[in-house]
Parts: sequence; C-alpha cells; structure tokens
Amino acid sequence: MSNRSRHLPVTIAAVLILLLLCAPLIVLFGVALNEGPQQLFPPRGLSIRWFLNIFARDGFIKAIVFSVELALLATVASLVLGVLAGLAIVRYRFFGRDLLMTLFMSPLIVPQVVVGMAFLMAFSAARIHSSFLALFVLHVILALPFAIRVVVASLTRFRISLEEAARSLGAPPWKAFFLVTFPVIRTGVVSAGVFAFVASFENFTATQFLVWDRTTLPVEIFSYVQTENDPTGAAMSALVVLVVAVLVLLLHRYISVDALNHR
Amino acid sequence: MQKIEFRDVVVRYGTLHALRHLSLTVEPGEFLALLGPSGCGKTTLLRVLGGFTAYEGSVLFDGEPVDALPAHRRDIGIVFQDYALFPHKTVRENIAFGLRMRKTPARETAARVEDMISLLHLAGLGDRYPTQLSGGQQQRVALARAIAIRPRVLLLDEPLGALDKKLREEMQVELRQLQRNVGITTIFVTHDQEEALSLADRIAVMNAGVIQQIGTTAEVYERPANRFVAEFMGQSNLLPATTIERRHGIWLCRLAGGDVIPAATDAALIAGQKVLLALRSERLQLISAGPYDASAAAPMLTGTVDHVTYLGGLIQIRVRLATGEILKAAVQNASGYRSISAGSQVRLTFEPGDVVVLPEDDSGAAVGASAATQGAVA
Repeated sequence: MSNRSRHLPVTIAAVLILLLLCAPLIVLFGVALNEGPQQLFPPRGLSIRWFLNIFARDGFIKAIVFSVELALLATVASLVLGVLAGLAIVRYRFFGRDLLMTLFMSPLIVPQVVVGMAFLMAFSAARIHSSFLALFVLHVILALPFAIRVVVASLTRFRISLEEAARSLGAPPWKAFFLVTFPVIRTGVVSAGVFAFVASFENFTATQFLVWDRTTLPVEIFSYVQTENDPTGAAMSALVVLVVAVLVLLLHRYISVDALNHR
Repeated sequence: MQKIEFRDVVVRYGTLHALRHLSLTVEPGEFLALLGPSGCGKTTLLRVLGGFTAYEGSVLFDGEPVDALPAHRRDIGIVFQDYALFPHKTVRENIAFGLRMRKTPARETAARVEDMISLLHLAGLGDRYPTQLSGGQQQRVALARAIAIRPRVLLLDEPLGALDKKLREEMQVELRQLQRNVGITTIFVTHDQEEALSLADRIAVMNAGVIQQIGTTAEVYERPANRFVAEFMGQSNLLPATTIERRHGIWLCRLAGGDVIPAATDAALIAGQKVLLALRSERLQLISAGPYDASAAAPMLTGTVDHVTYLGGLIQIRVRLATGEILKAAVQNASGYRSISAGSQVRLTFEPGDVVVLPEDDSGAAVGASAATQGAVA
C-alpha cells in the first residue's frame, strides 16, 4: 500500500509522458478516419475511404515502391559495409582506427540539410540527375552509423575462440565466418538491419534535395499536404506508423525468442 | 600417434618476446603438461601449434614441418578454455562440425558422433544446446568435438579451470583414462601444478617465454633445475649457502648463520661456490628442542616458531632461524605437533637427499635455454 503510494508520482509522470508521445499519433489516426474530406479531430463519422484513396493515387504507390526499394537496397549495402567495417574496427588495431569510427558516425551529427545540400551540388556538378543513384548513396551513408554501431557491439561480445574452434576443426576462414561467426551475431545484424531500413525509409530532410525523377514516400506525403487538404496524407502517415510498429514488434519478439534459445 | 616437435620457435609481440627460441619434443601418445604462471608463454605455444599466431622457427609433426599449413589444415583437436561451443548448434551438430568440414559421409559422421556421445557419457543430451548443459557436460562436448576428427594432436587449454573442485577431480580421472584409451598425443596447458602432476607423463615448466625444465612429474618436483621451478612447484625454502667440500658423495654447505648442511647432489660443484639450497616444506621434520644430540645422524637447524597455520590434514609452521631467515615446514596433523605454538623452540631435521642444490643466481633464461635443449634431446 505504502509502496504503491510512493510510486504514484512516478506513475503519473510516466502516464503523462506517454500521453504526450501518443497524442499526435492519436490525432493523426483520428483525422485519417474522417468520413468527410476535412481534416477534423475528433473525426466526424468513421470511414477507411482515405486509406483506400492512397491506393487510388499513383503518386503514393510509386513513392511507396521507390522508398521500399531504396530502403531494402540501402539496408543490404549498409549491412555488408557495416559488417566489414565492424570486423576491421573490432579485430584489428591500426592507425586512425578511432578517427575512422568517428567518421562513420558523423552522418548522425552533421545537419542533414547540409548533407542534402552537399549531395545536390556534388551530383549536379557531376551531371548525374538520377534520384535512385543519388539517394542510394545518401541512404547507405545515413544508414551506416546504425549498422556499424550495432555490428561493432555484437562483434565485441563475440568470443573469437568460437571462430578459432571452427578453424581448428577444419573450416577455412570464410566458412568459419559464415557457419559460426555470422549465425552468432545474426541477432545483432538483424536489428542493425531494421535500424538501417527505418533510417532510410523515414528520411526526409536530406532526401528532399535529391528528388529529380523519382520521389520517396515522406517527400510525397509532404508535397501532398502542401497542395491538398483531405485526410489522405494523414491516412498515409498512419499507415506508415502501423507498418513501423509491426516491424518493431516483430524485431522485439525475434530478439527475445532468440535470446532464450541460444544465450 | 604423432611426435610433435618445436624447433627454435620465436614469437614476438612488438619488442616483447612471448617465446624465446623454444625447442620441445612431445613423444607419440604422450600426455605433456605445459605449466607456468599466466603470461609465461604457454598459451602462445599452443597458439603456435594451432596455427593461430605468426612465428619464426619450425613445428614438425612426425618430422614433417607444418609451418606452411593454415589452422584448418593442421588436424588439431583443441579444447578451449571457454570450451568455445557453437551456441547455435546442438551437441550433436557441435560434435559433427569437424567431420562435416572433412566431408565425411553422413552415415559415418552420424556413427562417429554417436560413438563420441557414448564415450563421453553424453547420452540423452545430443539435441540440447550448449546453454542447456552444465559446465562439466559442456567440457565433455568440447572434448568430444575435438577428438571426433581423430586429430594428430589434442590441445587442452586450461580446460578444467572453470569447473568446481569436485567436478575437476572427476574430470581429471576421466580425461586421463580417455587419453590412454584413445592414445592421442596430448598437450595440456595449465597454471595449476596439482593438475599437471596428477595428469601428465611429463611436465614442461615455462616462464618468461622459456622452458625452465622438462621432465617426468617426479623429476620436476623432486629435482627442480633452478630457483624458478623450485619456487613454482610446491613450497620450497631457499637458503643461500657456500659449498665447503665433498665427502662420501655428499656436499657439505655452510649457511650464512654458520650451520653446515649436507646435500646429496650430483651437480658439478667446486669448493667455495655460492649456491642456493632448496628444501621442500613437507620434507622438514619438527622436533621440540631438547638437549642437543650431537650424535644425531640427521642434520638439524634450530629456531623459534613464528606462526602456525592449521590446514586440517596438514599444519604449516613458520620457523625463524637465529639468522632471521624463515623456514616453512608442512607437517602431518599428528598428536605430537599440537603442542607447538608461536614462540616454541624447535629443531628442524631432514635427509641430505632432500636438499636440492641450485645455482646461486639465475634469472631463469640462461639455465632455461639449456634445460630446453635437454628437453629436445630427451
């Protein structure tokens, strides 16, 4: 009893913060479910017509396809680079190692407007006006810090004796890596992948500088709500929130189940 | 069964020598313990053999150099200190790993895995994951995995260190029997001298990247080659002395305090040489000081009890000699010793054969080098 009352202020604070975090999302979902073409909250009448409207609009569909395509490719590329860079950073002591690590992390620190601007100028100077190419490079760089962070953490925990055991049992180095090291750090690589995917998928600030021939979903939503004021933009955003939530829940489940099995 | 030779092996980490021109021969089927304090180079030696460390010099299996072979072609079974069991594989998959790497036919692999499971008492655990096993079971899986490939040599890196005392003793017996049955040349790295003494045929005592002495367990314990071995193995009392003369095959040596000690030694000595006398604490006998019996056959040292430590089966007594030197005696816990307490006057006696004469000052390196060469010849 006394225990509960002592925790009461903390509980109240926690609930308030959660409400603060969720409130905009609740409004977003509310607006998206409006029956009429106004962005009203609370919604007047309930309907999923604005959700269905997403699929009627070519711009959104193309943007979704492009964003997913880009995010998947950037994820794979940043994971490959992240694992290689992680191996170098964790396994070897070389000159400039700390500098390299800081450099890899710098996209988290440098303002994205600056990064986007720099990319715009660089690609224009090179006369390359391909959104795909420019954004692929940009997103790999943006996703890399997340990939490296997580991979370095997993590799640091990884016991090198496991790899040596595999080699003593007759596995050449590459086999030892793929049969032992990789499966053991897999959980870390998967979560690194989710972070990388999200970092690419949700990027707006730097991305908007590079949409020449194709556009990504966040940029498309932004330009939509600038010209239209029906709830489709809200519905699109709500859908993104749902997909990301499902992704995060899956990741959480995957990691904890894995932890039970092998650790 | 393979003969393993190290010839003039050098390993440097920067300017630090982990191994200094080390030579060592392990006989076919032998169980050799590499014993030494941490940082002595014993694990480095194991890594040289395993092919995990760059080195100068040569490693030979049955006279054939393997230096050009990478780790995965050396056919070595290693039990790592942390067992290094693959956490994402079951016991069966762990044991089968080396056979799969050798592309052993599936049927033969399965049969060999089952053999290993029964040999190491792992029945019923084949489908478990390593985390679902106890420390002793994990250790047996690691051993099964290492010998399933029928390696040319088995390396054990402090494999019993993580087990509790009782389990460790059981595993020692099991390990020794297994090694005899399989008849595999085995190198066992440990810092635990008791483990080395109870398991090995021969012990190589290492320090500072050099083999200080190699010999049978009894040789190394009874006849330490230098100060390091004398101090590292068991408990030795070291007394500086000067040789006087040789009489009836026994060297008489004078201690700093004037006492004359007879030492049965075949070391090449000359009169007037400064030496160190090593006396094992358990070889010292204690007598309560009575009237001095000049006719007593055994040599004697007189002193005052400084401290008594009760160890159950043994009692350890620190005796301060008149010169201020401290001698430690470990005596059986028998009725005669119970009256001894701090301040008691006692006499210490021993046999001339219990006195080991060591070179006066050795940093270990010089003597070690010659001991290592002897090891290679032996």
